[in-house]
Amino acid sequence: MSDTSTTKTEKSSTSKSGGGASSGALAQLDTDQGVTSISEDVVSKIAGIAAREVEGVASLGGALSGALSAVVGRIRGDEHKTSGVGVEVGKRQAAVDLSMTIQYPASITDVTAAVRQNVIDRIEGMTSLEVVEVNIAVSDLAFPDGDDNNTGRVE
Amino acid sequence: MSPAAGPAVELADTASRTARDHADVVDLDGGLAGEFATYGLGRRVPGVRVDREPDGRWTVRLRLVAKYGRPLPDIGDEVRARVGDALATEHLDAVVQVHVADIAPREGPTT
Repeated sequence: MSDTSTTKTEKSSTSKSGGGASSGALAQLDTDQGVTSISEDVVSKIAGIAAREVEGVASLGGALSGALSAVVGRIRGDEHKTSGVGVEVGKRQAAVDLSMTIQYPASITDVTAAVRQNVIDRIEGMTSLEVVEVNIAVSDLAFPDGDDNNTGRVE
Repeated sequence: MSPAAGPAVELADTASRTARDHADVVDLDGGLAGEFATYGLGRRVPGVRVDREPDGRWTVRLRLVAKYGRPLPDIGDEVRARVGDALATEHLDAVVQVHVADIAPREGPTT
């Protein structure tokens, strides 16, 4: 499932969207009775929520982008936006890139494995797209004792 | 049901109401600027577009904000079927296209 095969996502060439839709690419899921299309934004949001569901994930996005996006997110009022999440969506397949900070004592290997599994499960379960790869960049560690602005050795 | 509103807006109303009745539909999405809507006299129905095809059939396009959890194709199918049925009871032959534009988390921020 998540094996990094050479099958890159075939970009949907038919970007005849649902009519003046804002987001670019969208997945089209053909069923018996018609077509349901799904925004790329939706797939990245699912990936973001699925990643956050895993214990040990402190936040998504890099260290700087985390602080920045917290401010921007507060201004724009969207907590659950997709910082730290990149997706590529084709008609049948999706690829996900995540960057995240992890809670300090947790095993990075275990956490990223659980994240990868959960992201694949959620996206495949909710959209029936096949997830061909989930790349995770661990950009920082987060420490339990409150704000990590005391990272220096000396006070 | 104002007589001047025109069939497109009434149709959009029915579609909007039916879609919102679905438990996994949180809202309809009007696009970034709220431009995705059906426009009538003095009001508009956001998240639904209704077009009349040359052959007289209607095309109803819906942009959903779905609840995080269940498979989106299933939700799409159910909404499409319900809206189609609701319009059929009003003797309207419509093609319903469902687009999932956004999803809403189950409850507040999980962080």
